[in-house]
Amino acid sequence: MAESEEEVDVLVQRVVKDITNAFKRNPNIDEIGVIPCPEARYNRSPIVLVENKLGVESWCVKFLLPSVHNKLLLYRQRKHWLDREALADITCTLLLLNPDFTTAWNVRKELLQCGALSPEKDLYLGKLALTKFPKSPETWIHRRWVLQQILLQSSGRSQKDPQSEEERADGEQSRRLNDQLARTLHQEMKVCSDAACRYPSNYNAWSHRIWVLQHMATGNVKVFHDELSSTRLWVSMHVSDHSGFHYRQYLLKELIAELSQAAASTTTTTTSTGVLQHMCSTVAGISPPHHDQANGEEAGEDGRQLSSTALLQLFHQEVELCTDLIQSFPGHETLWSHRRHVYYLWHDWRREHKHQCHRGSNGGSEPDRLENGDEGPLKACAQSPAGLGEDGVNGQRHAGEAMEVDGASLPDPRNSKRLKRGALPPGAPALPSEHGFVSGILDSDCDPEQRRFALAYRKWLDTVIVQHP
Amino acid sequence: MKLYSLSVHHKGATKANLLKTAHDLSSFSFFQRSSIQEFMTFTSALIVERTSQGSRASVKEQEYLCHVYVRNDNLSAVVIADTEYPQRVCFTLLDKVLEEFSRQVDSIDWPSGSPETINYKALDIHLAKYQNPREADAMTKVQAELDETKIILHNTMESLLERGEKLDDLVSKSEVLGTQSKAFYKTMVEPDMTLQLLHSVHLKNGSIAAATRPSLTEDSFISSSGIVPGAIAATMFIALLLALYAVLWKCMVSPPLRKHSKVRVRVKRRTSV
Repeated sequence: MAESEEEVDVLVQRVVKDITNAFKRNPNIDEIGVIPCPEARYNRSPIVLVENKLGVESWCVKFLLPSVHNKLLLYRQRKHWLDREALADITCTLLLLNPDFTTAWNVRKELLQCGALSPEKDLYLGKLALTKFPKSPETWIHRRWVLQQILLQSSGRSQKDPQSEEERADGEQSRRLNDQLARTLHQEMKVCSDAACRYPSNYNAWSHRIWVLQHMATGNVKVFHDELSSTRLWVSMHVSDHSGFHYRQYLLKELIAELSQAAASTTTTTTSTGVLQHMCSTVAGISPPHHDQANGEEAGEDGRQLSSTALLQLFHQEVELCTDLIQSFPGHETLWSHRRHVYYLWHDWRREHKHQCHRGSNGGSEPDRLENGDEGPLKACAQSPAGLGEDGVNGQRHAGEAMEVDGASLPDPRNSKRLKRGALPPGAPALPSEHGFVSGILDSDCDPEQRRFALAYRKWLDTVIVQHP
Repeated sequence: MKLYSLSVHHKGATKANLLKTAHDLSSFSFFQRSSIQEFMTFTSALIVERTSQGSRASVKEQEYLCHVYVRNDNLSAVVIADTEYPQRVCFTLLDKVLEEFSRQVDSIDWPSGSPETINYKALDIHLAKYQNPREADAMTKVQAELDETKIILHNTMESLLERGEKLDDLVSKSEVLGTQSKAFYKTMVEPDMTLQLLHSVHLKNGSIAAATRPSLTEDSFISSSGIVPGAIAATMFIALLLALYAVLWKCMVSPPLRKHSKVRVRVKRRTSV
């Protein structure tokens, strides 16, 4: 279809206006797409709005994109002036068709900085662009910039608070800010999750998710814990998504760092022990009866024990999840790689923990006390891992008769007998249990890929772990 | 791991007759869903037509795996899943569905039935239930009950086709696919039009930004096939190199004349003084 320049111009202007109107008419648009339509039907707008989904017919893209692209570049070269509204509309259209166009995002950054745009609009546009281009790196980069601006703004506002007179207004404003930040955080998590669903192993989405946690939820143990539980199901349904598992490894690492730090500080506040107790009880599923014990002992000692309890629970859960997935879905390297990471984190933490014990103020008596102490307050929680272990075994039996044949369930009772003599609580990862697990897999499973991964894992255990005790 | 479509066909002498189908297209972009649905139906029918009686096969096409089971009585089922979904569970599902279908629907209706006339409502429920393979499947039962037929694995759809048959031809001749779906197929097979546009737009901008570029190279870049200008550039480059070598060689080979002339000049000056 040969169209003259004026016709193309008119068409482009009409389309840009249609897109802007579509957004005004329906503020709940949540997805964009291109409709494969080779021919134009005269006098019908190529913009289609159906059930909160905005579509562009494909025939107009070849006119629309170069024209809008050139307009923006001419503006940038100062050969053609555009007012702020027109700029916003043009960049919006451009970015919905091609979100990797950095210049358009930069123009929007300028508009943001001079106040013509609100950050929420940019986040919304980015979210829409990601529904069609879930990996687009420029969109994620711009999103991080906008979030940084939001954080700067809110920290600027909270700093103004000491100047304010009424204390109540202070408290309310800071609470509102916190709520807003929490909502933004929650929204970011959702956007990352959607993008991860749309493209397998979406590295950009998961790295963004980690960045958001690093900048908007530093030290917030509750958020890390929530994220672990919310990604648990997702990761079970996306078994070969390495980035998802890497995210879980990151969360574990952060939780270890946070909880070890909380334990190391001798001035453990009641709130942190409260959080730890709460976590321990929710994780164990029972309320630990060592409350009374806690009141009698020193706060620091208690905090350390609680944190190690909580961490052991975390490790136990993670290893359980990994075992479950490896057995249900044979032949996925990602699961074995995740197991290695988790085991290595555990191994590292155990080593650090031993160093800390030896460096403890009470000297030699402390390691013994801690080792025995591990057993003591852990008895309550220890009943639950054993209970969990039992439930795990029962659950496995319930899932299918073959689980009894599967050698992997056998090491647990043998292991717990061994462990009663030793210091490690049952259910925690340990070298003999890992070897038992591998032997179980090799004996039962006939999938050649699975065998290969199991043997590689055993080799890794022998070379890496044994040589760095 | 996802299941996208589940369908039951009757394998006729030349064609497969679709009896019932269920889809789960929630993970696809909204505007592509109708085309994708048509494609899945088309693909399932094609696979049934090209699979022999009494066999099971898995056909891999890009990031999808199509599992098919054609029974000895020509009743067949196809499930289209992603590559993560365990194969074993798929075949359990196919067995189960066909068993149930053959009990509920009379075999007289199979050769001539269509989705509207066939009365079998459980397909959607099965598809939804099996989205989570662990909840739906009693893991070990399959290994005991599945008979000894091997599962053939095809690495592409093309391997199912006969010699000389092309998938493009089958698509354009198909009655099941609408015009929009055929257009959609073209965009899937050829590189994305938007990307092509962007490529040309980027290069045009290169010419706007640096206006001093020689027009020859500009034109040669913008033209759609890059082989001819590339060949011209290569020939020119090689010619340049050869010319340089020729000049160098000539310099090396020619006798040194200058020394004599310098001596002559000096001698001349002395005599003049």
